[in-house]
Amino acid sequence: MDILDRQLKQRKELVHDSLRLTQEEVSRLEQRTLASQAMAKSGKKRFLVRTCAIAGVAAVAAILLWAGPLAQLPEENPSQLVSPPVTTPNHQQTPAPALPEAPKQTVAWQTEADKLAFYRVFSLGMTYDEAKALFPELGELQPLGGIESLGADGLQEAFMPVTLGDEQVQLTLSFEHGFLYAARYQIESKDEQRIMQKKAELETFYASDFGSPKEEALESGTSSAWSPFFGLGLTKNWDGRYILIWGLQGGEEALEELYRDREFTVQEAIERALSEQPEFPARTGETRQVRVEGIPETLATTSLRTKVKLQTRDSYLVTFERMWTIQGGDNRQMTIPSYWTYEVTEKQVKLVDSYVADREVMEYLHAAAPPPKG
Amino acid sequence: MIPFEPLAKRREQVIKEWVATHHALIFRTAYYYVKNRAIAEDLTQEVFVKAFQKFDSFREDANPKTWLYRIAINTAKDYLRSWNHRHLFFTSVFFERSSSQSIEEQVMQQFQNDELVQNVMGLPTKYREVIVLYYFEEMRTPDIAELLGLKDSTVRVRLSRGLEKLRQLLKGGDQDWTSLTDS
Repeated sequence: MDILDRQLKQRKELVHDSLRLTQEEVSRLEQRTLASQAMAKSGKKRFLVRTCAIAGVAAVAAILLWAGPLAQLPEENPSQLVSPPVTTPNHQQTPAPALPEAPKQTVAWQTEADKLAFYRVFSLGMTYDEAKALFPELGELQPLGGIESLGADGLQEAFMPVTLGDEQVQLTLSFEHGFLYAARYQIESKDEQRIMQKKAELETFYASDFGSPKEEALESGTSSAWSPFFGLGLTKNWDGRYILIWGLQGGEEALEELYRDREFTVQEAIERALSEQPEFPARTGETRQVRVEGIPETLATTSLRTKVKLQTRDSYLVTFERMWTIQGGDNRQMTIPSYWTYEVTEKQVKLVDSYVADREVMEYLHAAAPPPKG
Repeated sequence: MIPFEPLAKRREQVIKEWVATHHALIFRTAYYYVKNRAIAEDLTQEVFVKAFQKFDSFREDANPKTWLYRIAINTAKDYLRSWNHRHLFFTSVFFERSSSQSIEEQVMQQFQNDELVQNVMGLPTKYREVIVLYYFEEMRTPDIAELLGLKDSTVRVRLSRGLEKLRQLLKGGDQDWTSLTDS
């Protein structure tokens, strides 16, 4: 028996002492295990109860929507749907006012710095179509990792080649149920020196926004994290290739809970911004449909979404977007956004950009809506 | 009529006993693969839930420890293949940090700071799994082979190569490990 053999055997006690559950955790484990089985048994019952509950909620919501018009939201609320002071419109004689032109979102990646600061372009919660509109060269959506079952679960990705200096790199955008949750660059090379130099350059570049990364060893490589939402991984493949991946990724619910005490998280930023406009979704992966009071759904609907861009390690840009979908007179469907972007830090929430088309859209809709019967 | 209730009661009782007897082993096994306490805890629960669900396929004469072990290894490997694991790729640095210092956490810190343990946990999975089962769980190589669905000779080769890799890694460390080479 050599020293290593002996040392490993001696570590058994340390490993067993360290890796054990507390009595409380064991009790919880037992309770949850038994409860999960009980839940599986009562699944059918719960389904029925849930269906009834949803039907009940839907009925109440319908009554509230009918009785509680959106137009009665307080004036201070910048996202409110304002019913303009419209007199009964004469649909035969008065042409509908023109709809506002949606502002064009464009991206001009001129410099390498623009491309490296891609977290200023890609929002957590943006859709594939929005990304494709910004970058027409973005490839088609595919199942994540080429695994069909993941695609069926709503996990997809799309790729785009990007030239960074003299490197040809791949940008991967990952989507969950249609909403972006990660954007990463990837470089591969067998040249260790070159890849290490690139890593060092990236660490220098991102230092201004995110500070110094924390590094830890991974299986076959290292992981450097600037924040829970922005990091870099360097691994060596079995064939000698070095793979350098870096970028942003949204936090999962469970992780958010863990980071909360130590970092100012994406979710905390959203929660802070919601104090300004509470009707928007609390997560980047959700859309909330809202009916427009007094306007038939065949004419217009609105959906509310929340998107987040990383700015620095402890500040975010939270954008609330109301997307109007309007059936035009010539059977053409139009979409017009209103949005409010807040810069959010632990200390403050500040409106830094907005485009509000609500009033003009409502004027158009009131003019275009069929007159009430009777 | 089939007496469902007594069977269900018996199953519940057996699972309770298994949780009480084997939770530590299952938790450690999960940790050896995922290297994260919170995830290992979740996976431990998943293992017992699976055991509960698959209870009918458990042969009375089989050893529950081996059966649970196998479920634990498969569950942990499935987890490593899943997208959740990729999702955590960048973030595990923050995951294990904690400002509070309970006794459990101090022990955990000792574990995490131990150079030898660190290097074992840094080994590629195929070497790590045989080393932890052999040294930390004191399993014999034929039992490891059966558990992992490998030949005994493969397990021995992996054990030997894993140790060799450890020696190489430890040579560059803080401690003088030069005497660790085979004497």
